[in-house]
Amino acid sequence: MRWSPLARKEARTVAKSKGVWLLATLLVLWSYRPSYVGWDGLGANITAGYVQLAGTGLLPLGVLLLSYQSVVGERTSGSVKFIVGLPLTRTEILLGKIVGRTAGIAGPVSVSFLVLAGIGLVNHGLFDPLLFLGVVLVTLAYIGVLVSVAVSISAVAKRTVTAAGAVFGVVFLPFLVFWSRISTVIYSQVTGRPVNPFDPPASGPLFVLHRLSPSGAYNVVSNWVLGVGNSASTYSSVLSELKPTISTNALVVEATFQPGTVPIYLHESVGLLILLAWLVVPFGLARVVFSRRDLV
Amino acid sequence: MRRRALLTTAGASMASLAGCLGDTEYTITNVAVTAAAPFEFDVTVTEPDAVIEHPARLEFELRNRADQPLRVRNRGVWPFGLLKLVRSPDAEGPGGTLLYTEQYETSQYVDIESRRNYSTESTPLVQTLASGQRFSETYELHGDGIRGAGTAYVRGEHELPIFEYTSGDSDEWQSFTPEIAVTITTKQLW
Repeated sequence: MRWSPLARKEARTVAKSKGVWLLATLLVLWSYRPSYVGWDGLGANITAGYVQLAGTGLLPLGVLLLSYQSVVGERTSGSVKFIVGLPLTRTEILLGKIVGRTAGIAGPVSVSFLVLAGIGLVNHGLFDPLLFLGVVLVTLAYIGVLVSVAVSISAVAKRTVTAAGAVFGVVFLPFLVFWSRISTVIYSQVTGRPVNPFDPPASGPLFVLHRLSPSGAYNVVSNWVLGVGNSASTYSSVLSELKPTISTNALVVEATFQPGTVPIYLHESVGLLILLAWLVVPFGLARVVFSRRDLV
Repeated sequence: MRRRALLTTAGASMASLAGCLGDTEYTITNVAVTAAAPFEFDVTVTEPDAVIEHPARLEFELRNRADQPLRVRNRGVWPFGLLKLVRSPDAEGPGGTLLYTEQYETSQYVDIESRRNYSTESTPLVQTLASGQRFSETYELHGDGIRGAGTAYVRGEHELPIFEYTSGDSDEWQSFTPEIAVTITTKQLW
C-alpha cells in the first residue's frame, strides 16, 4: 500500500475542488424525479430509485470530466516529475490515482445521496435503508469503474485534448449515451435480423449486448438490488414495460422470455462481472502503456 | 478552467430541467357545481392533491329533494355510473380521464383491467331513491391520467352527463344534467 499517500493526496485534491461539489449539488436536482410508475412499483423505496437515476447521464459525465486530466494534466504541466520521483511503480501511481480520485468523488456524491434520502423521507415516507444502501454501494462502485476508465485514458493520452476527445468520443457518447441504439444496430448487422425495440426477439445475444456497456451493467445490477426486473434500462422504464398496457423500448427479460427459457448469462450477477471487466481491462491496458512511457 | 466552465454549463442546463424530469403532480383548487331540482347534488374535494403517492378524491353526494321517490338509472355502478373528466363541457364520446371508484372492482357489470382499459355491460341499473334519501360515493382522480392543468368537466361515461331519472312508474326518463367544473393546477415539486 505504498500508493496510499498518493491516493490520499488525490482524494483531498478532488474533494476540495468546486467541480465535484457542483456535481453533487446538481445530482440532487437531476435525480429527484417522482414518478407515478415508480411509486406504483417501489412505493417509498422510490427514494432508492433516485440514486439509480443519479447514475444515468449526469454522474458519468461529471466523473469523466473530473478524471480525464488526472495524469495527462500533470504531464503537460510538468508536475508529474514529483509523482515519478516518489518510490512508486507506475502501476502503483495508477492505482493511487484511481483509488484516490474515486474516494474524492465518492465523498461529495454520497452527501448528495444523503440529501436525496432526506428529501425522499420527508416526501415519500420511510424506505428500506438496506435497499437504499445497496443501490448507493453499486453506484459508488460504478464511480470507481468510470474513474478507472478515465484515468486509464488519461495515462495513455499524450495531450489533454486527446484525453478529452477519447473520454467523450470513445466512452461517453457511444457507451453511455447511445449504446442501446448502437447495440441494436450491431445485432441487426451481424444476424441480418432487424430489431424492433418495442417488440424485441427473445434473443440472449441481443440482451447481453445491451448490457455490455458500463451504464447497461450498472442498471442491471441496480435493478437487481431494487428488485424491479432484469434489464439494462432504468427502473422506471422497466416498470413501465412490465405494465400490461404499456410498451416501451426497454429490453426487459421478464417481458420477453418465457419462464425457464432465460439463458444463464443473462443473470443479473453477470452485470457485476461486466462492471469488473470495465474496471480492470482499461486499467490493465493503460498500465502496460504507462509503464513503458517516458513521462518527463 | 475549461473543464469547470463545461461542467458549469452542462450543470446549469440540467438544473433548469430539475423538477421537469419528474412526473407532473396536480392539485384540485376548486369544484363548481350547478345542479337543478329534483336533486340536491354536490361534489366535495376530500383530498385535493393528485400526487404520486395518492390520488385526489372527490365525494359525490346526491339527495332526493322531491316529495316522491325517484328512480335513478345508470350503467356499470349505481347511481353515478362511470365518470370521467373531459376538457370541454360539450365533449361527447370516448376519451377523457376516468374517475375511479372501488365500486368498479366489485360491480359485476364493469370489467376493469386498468384505468385506461375497461368496459361496461349495457344492462341498465335502476334503483329507487326515496324522498329525502342521500347517497354518496367517493371517486379518485389519479395524477397520471390528468391531461394538464386547467378546467375540466365531469361527464358520465354512458349516460350523459351523469344519469337518468324518472318518477313513479313513468317510462319517460330524463337526464340529470349538472355542470361540474373542476379546476386543476400544477403542484410544484420544490
